Amino acid sequence: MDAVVSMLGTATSDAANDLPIFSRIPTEILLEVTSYLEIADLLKLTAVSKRSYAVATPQLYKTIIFKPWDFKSPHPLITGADGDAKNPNLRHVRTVGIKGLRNTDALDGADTNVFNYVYLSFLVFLNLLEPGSIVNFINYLAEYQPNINSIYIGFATNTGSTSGSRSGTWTARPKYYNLANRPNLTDLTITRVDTRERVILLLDLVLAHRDTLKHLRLRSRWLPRGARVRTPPTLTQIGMDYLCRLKASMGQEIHLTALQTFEAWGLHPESPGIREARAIFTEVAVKADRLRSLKLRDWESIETILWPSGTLPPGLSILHILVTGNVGGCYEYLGLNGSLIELALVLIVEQDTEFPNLAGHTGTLRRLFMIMVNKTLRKLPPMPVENIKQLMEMPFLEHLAITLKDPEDLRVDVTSSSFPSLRYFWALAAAPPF
Amino acid sequence: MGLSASRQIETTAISGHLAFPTTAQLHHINLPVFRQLSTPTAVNMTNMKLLSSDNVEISVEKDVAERSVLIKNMLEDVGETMDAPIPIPNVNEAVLRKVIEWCEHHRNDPPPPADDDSDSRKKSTDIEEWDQKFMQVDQEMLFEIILAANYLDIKPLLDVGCKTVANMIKGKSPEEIRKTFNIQNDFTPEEEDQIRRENEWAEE
Repeated sequence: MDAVVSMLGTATSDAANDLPIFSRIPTEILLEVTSYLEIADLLKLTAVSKRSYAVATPQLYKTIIFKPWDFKSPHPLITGADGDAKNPNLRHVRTVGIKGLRNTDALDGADTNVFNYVYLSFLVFLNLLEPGSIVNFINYLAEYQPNINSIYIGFATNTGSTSGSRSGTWTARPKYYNLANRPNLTDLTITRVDTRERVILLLDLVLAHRDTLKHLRLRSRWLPRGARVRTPPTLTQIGMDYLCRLKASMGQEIHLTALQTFEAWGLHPESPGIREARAIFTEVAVKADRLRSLKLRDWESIETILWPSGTLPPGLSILHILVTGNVGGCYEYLGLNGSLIELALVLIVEQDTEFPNLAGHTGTLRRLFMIMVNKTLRKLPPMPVENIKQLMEMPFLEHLAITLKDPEDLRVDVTSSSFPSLRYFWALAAAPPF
Repeated sequence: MGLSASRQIETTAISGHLAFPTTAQLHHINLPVFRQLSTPTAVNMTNMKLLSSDNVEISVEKDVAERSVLIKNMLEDVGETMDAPIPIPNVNEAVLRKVIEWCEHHRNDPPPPADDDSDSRKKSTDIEEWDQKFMQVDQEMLFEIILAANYLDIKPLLDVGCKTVANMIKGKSPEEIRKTFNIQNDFTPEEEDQIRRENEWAEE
């Protein structure tokens, strides 16, 4: 028993209990509290007391996203409290981003114009850090901020087509590459991969960091079905050619050995960039051994990439996917024993089809969003009772979204042990055509 | 039972819209009917005793107590059935009973998912209804629960506690935060001005 008492430590002193409650909370817990706060609240917390300042400041500076217009006048983050002094809290920065870069001229020299725009914007910022150019900023990041490992590059909509006009200039690496090229890059988000330069930037960054990159996200604006989309016809070929050259020069297959998350959403099948993103996944990411989360929204034909592999990635716990046409391969794939915790599945079928058997994921599944769309009849077929019964027995299922018949007609024997963990239910009416 | 229960399901039609519901949306569709039907699955009913800091013995089922990683590891390390009460020297009776109440309610919860370090700024402060009511205690008790959860290594309870405190901070001015938590302003006017200029970039 003495050993047990020793393990459990000793009681706090009465003197400690006389302190105000806030003072008695350990710093590590207060840091956890601040992780739930947005910038506005963190800012107010820094002004409360010296202790709250010390706790809130690291979280406040953890992520900084610049916008181009931030640099139209000296940015207060850089000018700091003493005019020219460097803000000492920059040491807390772990993630930086540039959001809203816009091509001002898509004709020849567009990339120079963009770079100059960013350069001039950053120049104010850089001169206050140390005299020099954007290279100094990159050096500054490399030398003084080695802990930054997450980069967000938020391109604005491309206002013109630069694709194909410069084919063959493979050595002209995009200017943003050096900004994002960090030896320990683990988290990369890029929006709107819709120009040749952005395709190559994406491929270069992904491949250069294939041993460290854990999270890769490609985002685009969401385009409704039927929207007219201008698709640069040569981007796919540019991306594939570039990958082929790299693979040939490396003389080996490309593996992303650390990748855990691959997410692409808001990508309409016909939108610019989708083919490049898909090409990367086909050529590289599908071979990832550690893949845990795969979210592919509005992404058709992914089954041709996943199903032939025959087995679920061993650690995959989150899968968002849309399947069109023949669902057989998908059902076979999902029927395997797996470790899915979250499944969001949209099935687009020509005629009503049975729903997939998810018994292989009974021991892990917590969140299930499943919708079938009969494209011919333009309706949402309801989930059959047999499938609902299977879900009723899943011990950990917490969130469920399915299509149901009119509840008045539904006959399901719910018992005291049905849906033991269900907390949120989202029912979609199956009957009315849309 | 079957049809009557199913009739309580709220049906939401989303014609022609295939977006997945977000977690925030789902939180608005909380169906207590299913929770009422919930029954414990097979559990380890072995009882054990805990001894609070004010020397009160509290009997608790072993699987409930093992929501505490500290106690679970300790029992595994000791590797024996313990008849004597286990002392919990940092937690008094009232707090310990609250913690046990939480553990009993959450005894069948699946293990929490592995931490995802990719997007820490976007953490949700949503708290499920039962936990919200559980945390409706005076501030002294709230902080004692948090300290106990931290000491006993009950991560989900600690998370709920931290979210509750975060929600108490949200939307308040610095002065209101001081009043809420009885914090003394120990800044000089010069220091306040310095901080204001230092963090000016974060203001809207």
